Amino acid sequence: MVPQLLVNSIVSGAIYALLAFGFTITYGTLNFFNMAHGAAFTVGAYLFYVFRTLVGLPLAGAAALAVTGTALLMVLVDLVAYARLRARHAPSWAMVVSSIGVAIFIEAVISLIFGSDTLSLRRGEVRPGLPILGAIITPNQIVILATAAALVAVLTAYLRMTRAGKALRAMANDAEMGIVIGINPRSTYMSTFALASGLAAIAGCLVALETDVYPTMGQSALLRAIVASIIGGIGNIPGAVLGGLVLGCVENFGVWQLNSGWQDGISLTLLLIFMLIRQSRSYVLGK
Amino acid sequence: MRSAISIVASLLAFAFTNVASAADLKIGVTLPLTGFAASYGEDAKRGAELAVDQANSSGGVNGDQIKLIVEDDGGVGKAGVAATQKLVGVDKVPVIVGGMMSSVGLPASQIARENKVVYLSTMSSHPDLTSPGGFIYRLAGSDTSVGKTEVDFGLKVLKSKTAAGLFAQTDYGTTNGKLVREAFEKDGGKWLATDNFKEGATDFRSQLAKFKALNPDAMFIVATHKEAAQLFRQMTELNFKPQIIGTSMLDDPAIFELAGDTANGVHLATSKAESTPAGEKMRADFQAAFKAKYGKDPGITALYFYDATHLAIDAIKAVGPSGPAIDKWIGAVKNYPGVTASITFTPIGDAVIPTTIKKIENSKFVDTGFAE
Repeated sequence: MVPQLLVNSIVSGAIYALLAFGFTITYGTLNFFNMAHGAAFTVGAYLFYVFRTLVGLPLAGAAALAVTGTALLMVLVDLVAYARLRARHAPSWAMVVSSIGVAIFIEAVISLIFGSDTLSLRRGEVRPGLPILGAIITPNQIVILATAAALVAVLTAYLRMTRAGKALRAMANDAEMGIVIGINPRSTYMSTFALASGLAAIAGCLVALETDVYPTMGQSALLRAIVASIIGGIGNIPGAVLGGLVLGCVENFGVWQLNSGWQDGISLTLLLIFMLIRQSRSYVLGK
Repeated sequence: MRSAISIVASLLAFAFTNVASAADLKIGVTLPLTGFAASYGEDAKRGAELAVDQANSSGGVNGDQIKLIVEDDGGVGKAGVAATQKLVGVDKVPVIVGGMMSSVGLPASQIARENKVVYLSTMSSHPDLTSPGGFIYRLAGSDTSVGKTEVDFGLKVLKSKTAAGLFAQTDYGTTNGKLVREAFEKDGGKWLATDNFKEGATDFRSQLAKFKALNPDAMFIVATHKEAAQLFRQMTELNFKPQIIGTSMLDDPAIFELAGDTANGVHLATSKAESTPAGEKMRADFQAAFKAKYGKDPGITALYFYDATHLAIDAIKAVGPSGPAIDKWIGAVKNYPGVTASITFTPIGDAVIPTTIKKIENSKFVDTGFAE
């Protein structure tokens, strides 16, 4: 049973890591808790459903369009909902409130267009998964793991080696100093939104492959992103990835001993513990 | 610009007067249109609306039209209480159709009773829902009888010696779980484990890994078709195949689309519909009317909300829109023809409905003939 729980942990941890990655860079760069991060996840999953099932595109094409579409939409949302607040130097909580509005709005629009019914992307026969080292893993789970691992590698390289990536990190570290040394804040904010929501959309597509899509799916995704980011030290990118994996393990191994109705309780307890630890040290580790 | 505003204003005024004049005979409905049970709510709403449309198109009640006031209860107690209070206090309806979920039905029915408004609970099966005092009626079977039927089927027909249970963490799920476990152990079965999941859960793999290690003959579940579809698919992927016995929450054709072949072989306990020719015909007519109007087959919630709304309309037709009069009339119905079953209530308001076990075969519900 332990190998099986480990596989389950890593697969859900990989999704949480993608979500937390985007959440944490948004916090780092724009300095607010983006409560609409879960909405990007939902939009990604629904666009994937549209391109895959309604239009009938192949898997990779549908996913690419869904991710691009979500990233563009969220850059647009930034212009409508956050850019003007930023221009007026609105406090961080104003941005948070605005993002809650965005999240509710997007969820409602999705319910209006697609209805609140669950939609399924799965096709074909469901077969037993492949037994590997005492655990059973499905082809979809392998896709999730491979995608997440590849993305984390590529993004780490992007942030460390490219000019745009370095600019993003610099802004995350100290926005004012970044502007002083000549980084264009607008383009950095835009690329942050595009990157964060693109990643959330990829997570949405992967989850859509595994399970189904429904309008409220972003809510629990947001919760996981927040918890994983805080475990890893909010603003800290490697920390967020690690936080996602830790959260996946705690949730899945917790079920082993405890009633699984406590799953959310377990992750929130973990959140509480980490908040207490971090409060006594520097809150943001990555800086 | 000013003239445009005045046109809009007069249109609005017209719209409101129209609403007011048609609002004479009101029936309140609460059902989940958002949240984890929203897809059941959509279908239930269609069922209730069909009953009202049919009544209104055949002349309403002595020429008056019936108006359905639908409120979202989200499938949870807090929202259900707010929705019921609005129907009772603001809309002043004499009768409310609701209670798809026990979490809503339990508190909401008490509010209705205190205000002398009749509460027609559809699918809440919590044993505590009904009690002496009138005004509260339940169309579905109570958990006590449904749970017993599930266990009897598991022990006698499937010959299961060991069992485990996976139940939604709702009033319904935990109550059904408790009753099933007690009945199973009492009748000599060995209960291996119980687990609960939060409603709306999509990943059951770790729970299933735990159950698979215990290898039970049968698994009792309480899950929505959405949750169950994930559960069945993940069971197939993990190659874990005990006998599955579920409840009427699975009695919805949506499960075939969501779960595909993985739902084959699943058993579910649901209310036994009237098998007389008249009952069969009524159900066939309903199915046809539903499909003609909405382009899909009705799920179980549509049937219950249709019956409850129909019953409310007939009560208003017979005795007028007064809560106490409706209570008296409904309490006295005998073999009222419904599409779920032929309805007669016990003195505390439970419908006397036999429970039957259906099996899913090749994406169809097949009656096993086992009933209690």
